[in-house]
Amino acid sequence: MDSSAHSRHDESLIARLYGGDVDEVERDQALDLMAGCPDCATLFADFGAIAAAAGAMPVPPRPRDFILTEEDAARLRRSRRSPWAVFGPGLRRSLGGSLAALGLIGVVLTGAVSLLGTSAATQGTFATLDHRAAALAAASSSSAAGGLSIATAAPAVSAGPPELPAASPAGARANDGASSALPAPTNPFGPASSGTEYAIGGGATPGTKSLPSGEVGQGSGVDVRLVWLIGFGALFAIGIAIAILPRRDRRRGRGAGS
Amino acid sequence: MTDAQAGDDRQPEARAKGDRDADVLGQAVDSALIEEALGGRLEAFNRLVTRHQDHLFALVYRLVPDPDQAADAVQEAFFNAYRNLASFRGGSVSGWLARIAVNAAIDIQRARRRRPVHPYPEFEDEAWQPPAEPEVEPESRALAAERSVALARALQELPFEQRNCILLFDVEGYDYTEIAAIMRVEVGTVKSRIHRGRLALRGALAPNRELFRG
Repeated sequence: MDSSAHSRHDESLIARLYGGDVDEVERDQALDLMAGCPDCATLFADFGAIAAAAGAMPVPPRPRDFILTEEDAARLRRSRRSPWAVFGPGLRRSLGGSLAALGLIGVVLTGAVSLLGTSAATQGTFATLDHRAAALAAASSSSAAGGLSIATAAPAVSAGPPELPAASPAGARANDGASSALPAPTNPFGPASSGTEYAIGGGATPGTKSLPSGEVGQGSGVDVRLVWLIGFGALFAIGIAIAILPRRDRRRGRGAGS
Repeated sequence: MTDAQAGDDRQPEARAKGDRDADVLGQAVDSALIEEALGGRLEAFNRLVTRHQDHLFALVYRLVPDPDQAADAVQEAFFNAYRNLASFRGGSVSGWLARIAVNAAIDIQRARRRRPVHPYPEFEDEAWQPPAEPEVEPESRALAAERSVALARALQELPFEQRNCILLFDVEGYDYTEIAAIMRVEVGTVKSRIHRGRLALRGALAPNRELFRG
């Protein structure tokens, strides 16, 4: 049974001949090969000997009867109506495992993105606010100390005729009297997406809103990442349930059958 | 060889005709039992179990060479058969049950790939001898035991897809098309698995070649 001796022969052809998987031309070719090569003839004979030995391998006596009890039958009749009955146990395990894996990967990725996103948003907010504060300080150095308001409803301020900005009460009080002589403070950063006024430096006053880190640039509705996280978590749980249910079923079956 | 076969001194043609008649009769009995079982008679199904459990256990044991796991697979196969009685479309009940049993065995094999066990645990016992007829010479019996151990170990070295195909083809006598239907793969894949597996098996048995010659 030295396969290396056949390296220059077509062992596959001999194997196919033994399995009856050759056409007439190949059959003649293989028979010629065997007639002229004792190793190929031995290969063919070995296949026969191995197959015969495989058929003669002993099988131990059956360890138990596999007769179904009334309880087994009742349970199996119920499971005929089960939606799970559409899938075999192997398919159910594969499907459940895949769903659980997908859910777990989703949870991990969403969590990671959420953590990274929060960190980046915090850093970006501080940088932007610093930049805005510095620019505003240079543009309106005559502004009085106290609260400085940034009207982020930019189109109304920058595009319209010079008029008093829609300043907060704190800002209006600070510019009381002389404020009418000042040009309207235009927003040097272009239009912002929100019409909310944000107070910097002077603290939050009525009509303004202090800037919590990580909130700038986000919608004010339900956190999308949280929705994804819950969705993936649910997918994971459903996958585990699908993968485990058949095992429970099988355990019940074993107990009843033994 | 069973007692019935040992005592059968009929001519080969007569014996073959008798076997065919027995097959036809057996299929008719199986079909009638299926009909009764579909009508809700559990005893009818259990008669089917009794008729086929030995063959199914032997079939599954060759694929899953661990008696406990093979028994679990056969039990699962009968559960599946009962659950899916209505899906039986006629033909050979024995073949239908064998397909279900092979699929249960494949499920066990996949699980075993994750939790490997010792195959053929009885072969690990040095004193183990295969069951044999009393008239067989002790030397022949010892040789057969040695051959079985070597073959069992070599079979375990093959991927289970190749092993299943070889055993179903060589031992159980299924043809390529039937194996393809059971394994849910193309016929060409079955052929390839059998031919490659045969060569790999022979290579794995190279150290024991003398056991299989002469």
